[in-house]
Amino acid sequence: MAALRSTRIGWGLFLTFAVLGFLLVLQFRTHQQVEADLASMSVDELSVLVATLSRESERLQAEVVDLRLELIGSQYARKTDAEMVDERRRSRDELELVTGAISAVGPGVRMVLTDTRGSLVGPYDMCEIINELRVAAARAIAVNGHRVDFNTGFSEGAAGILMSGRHISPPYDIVALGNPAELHSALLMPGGLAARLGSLPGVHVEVHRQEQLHVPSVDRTPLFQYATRVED
Amino acid sequence: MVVFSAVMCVLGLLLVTALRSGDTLLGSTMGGRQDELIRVVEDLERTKSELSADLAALRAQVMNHESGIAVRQGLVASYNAQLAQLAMNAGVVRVAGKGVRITLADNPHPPEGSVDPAGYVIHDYDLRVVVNALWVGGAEAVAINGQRLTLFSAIRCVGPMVLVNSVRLSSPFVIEAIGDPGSLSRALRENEDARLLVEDYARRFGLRVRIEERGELLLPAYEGRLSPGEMVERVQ
Amino acid sequence: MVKRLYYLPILGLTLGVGIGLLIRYDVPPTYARYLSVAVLAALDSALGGVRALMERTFNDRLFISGFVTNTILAALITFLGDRLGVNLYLAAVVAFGVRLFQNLAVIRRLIVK
Repeated sequence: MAALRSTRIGWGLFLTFAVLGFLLVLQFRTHQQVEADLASMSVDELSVLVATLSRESERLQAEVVDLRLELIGSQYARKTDAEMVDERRRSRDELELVTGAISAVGPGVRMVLTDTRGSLVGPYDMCEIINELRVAAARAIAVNGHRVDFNTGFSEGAAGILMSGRHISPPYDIVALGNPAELHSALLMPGGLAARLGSLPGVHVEVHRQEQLHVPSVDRTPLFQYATRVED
Repeated sequence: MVVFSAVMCVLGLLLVTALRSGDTLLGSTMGGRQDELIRVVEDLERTKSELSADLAALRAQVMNHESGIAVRQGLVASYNAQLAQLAMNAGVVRVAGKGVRITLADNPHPPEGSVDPAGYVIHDYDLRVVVNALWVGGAEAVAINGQRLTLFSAIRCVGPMVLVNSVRLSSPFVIEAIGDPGSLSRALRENEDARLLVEDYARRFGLRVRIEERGELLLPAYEGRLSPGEMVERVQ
Repeated sequence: MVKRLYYLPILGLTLGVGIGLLIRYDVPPTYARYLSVAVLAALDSALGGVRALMERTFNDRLFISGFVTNTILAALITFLGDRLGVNLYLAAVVAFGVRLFQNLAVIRRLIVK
């Protein structure tokens, strides 16, 4: 009986303390979790938390609104900025085309001037041809593969014509971009350039209208050593 | 025993009442209020983290824009610089510098009944001759009576008038050219056609010619058309 | 006989702790308060048992019944208190806490003697 009783006592003690041990571990683990959990906080603590979070949210909301407005503003500015960039680029492209910084292609006329005697077509004749083409609104002119610039001058060379110091010899291949009909009629006007030059012995003039003619870019860009820009 | 039972009865009643009232006031009991607040806190925390995320995204976008602005400003600046140079080449800006001034005028008193009355007047071809000589002499800018000459400029005559840049000009014609004055004067002498005009025809027909070297000339900008028309860039 | 029994509590405790660590059961946070007061009651009962053992007044039936009822009662009283709007949690804490300290004092005296 005593042995049975001591066994019971033993088992009782053992089990209860086992349960205690289990509960202690559970409590410890739960408490750790609960520390960080909202459910453990008192009503007062939660109220404070609500107030703090509300204030913080309000500030965040205000800042978000400010940034959104700023973004809209700068998106509009970017659009106009981008337009300005495009506009500048287009202006630059156009000026490059017109001033001969880049080669060009388009409709126009090709004039071939043969001078078998080699001495009858002179610098002033070239001058006249260029001028006549410009009167007929030629946008770009090239002579023997050289682009005519604003400062192109023709002079008498040792053997033939000098174009801005460069030697050119017949046959003269003159390409002018513009309205083909207008250019054609300007050159072949009765009593005009083609007629006058063609009447010279050994000189033959041909003018062809074409849709796709090309002119190269200028051989060298103008250098300004004496002329300086004057600001408005 | 009876007293005890009665007391127990009252206790039971009190308990049930308290419990029931506790139930209906569950919203205001500690547990219920706590649950409500917990929900509010969780909502607020969710809102706050969403707003923070929005804020971060917006900030990134704003920074993008700012860097974009810098790039575009850089582009505009480089385009402007190129445009400035091209404008100079095109003659659409005012320029100043030393050079020569040539004045050509008709004979003020042409003789009557002459065989060739046209000879006593300055013509478009006279102007072309002088201008060509100036370009050969290295002129950097030329203007006739305030009309700047560019690669679109033409000198032609319509009746008694001379048209430069489609503007009617008449005698006296003042041609100004910026460049090395010595080189320009020399070019006028060396160019055959120019020399003939200045020395031979001027004397013969009494045309007024004056060539002066000037220290400071101011040439206006070209104001005419510059459009490329049908012409486009040639893409190699 | 009594001396032999002393190592059993320790063994039991160790086993309980071991099982507790192995079994990954988490108590919902809302019931955390009830668990803590229950643990307090359990601790008090356990120490009461140890004291009874040392005073040779240990009764196993009394001990086990006391352990179970006190533990459950503590949690129940707290729950009731929450429902009634009265913080009965405090009463349980005070009651079991005081008894805990009393038992500890007696045990200490017995060990020192």
